Amino acid sequence: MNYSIAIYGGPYSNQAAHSALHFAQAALTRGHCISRVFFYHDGIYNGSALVSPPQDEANVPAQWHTLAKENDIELVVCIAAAVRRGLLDEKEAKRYSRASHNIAEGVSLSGLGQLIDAGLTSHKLITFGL
Amino acid sequence: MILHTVNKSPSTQSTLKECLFTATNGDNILLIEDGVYGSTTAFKALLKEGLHYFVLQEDLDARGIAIDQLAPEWTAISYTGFVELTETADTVCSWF
Repeated sequence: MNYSIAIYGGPYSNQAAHSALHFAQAALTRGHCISRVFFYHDGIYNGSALVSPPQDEANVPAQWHTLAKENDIELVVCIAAAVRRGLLDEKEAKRYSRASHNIAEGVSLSGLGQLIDAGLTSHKLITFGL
Repeated sequence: MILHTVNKSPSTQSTLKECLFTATNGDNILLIEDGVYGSTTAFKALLKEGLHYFVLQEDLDARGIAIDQLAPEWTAISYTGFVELTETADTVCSWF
């Protein structure tokens, strides 16, 4: 089956991104395909390339980036939620005259329409809330 | 059949109560994260007939809740079990 996942929680605020990661791993092991993960609200912080926890702690955002790369999962961050929280790609950094950008490789900024599209085109959309 | 997931403890929020009010005969309920506190005997009175009750083992373990502290209605499942429940559900409704 074709799954998509929506994540509303940021790392270190609540368990959403962690739970969703474990769900995604289990779904892939059962032979399902995960086409898109949509990060919304504080969930957008999972798209940062700069999350740097101590070395003996899990880096959930980095685990998402690796899982996506290995399994061809599209990671999408809500652009409106991201830009206001300071998560920018090169294009948005230029648009807002910011000195740098911090979105992780393989993560893209896009609109809320991508969440609606995921609901319409996937067999299942699973939401991990705040 | 709808799979309802609940991630809030019934001692801090009314999420589980509202979910159970909405769920209809044959639906599956799955407690995850802090929601797993709802599977303990303390909250047995909230449950109603006609629903199937599941709780995520990993989140029970993380909170030190043992199987013998659960009300008998609940079945503990793994993340693989969680995926299986989504496979058979028409839709998944997340309460948070």
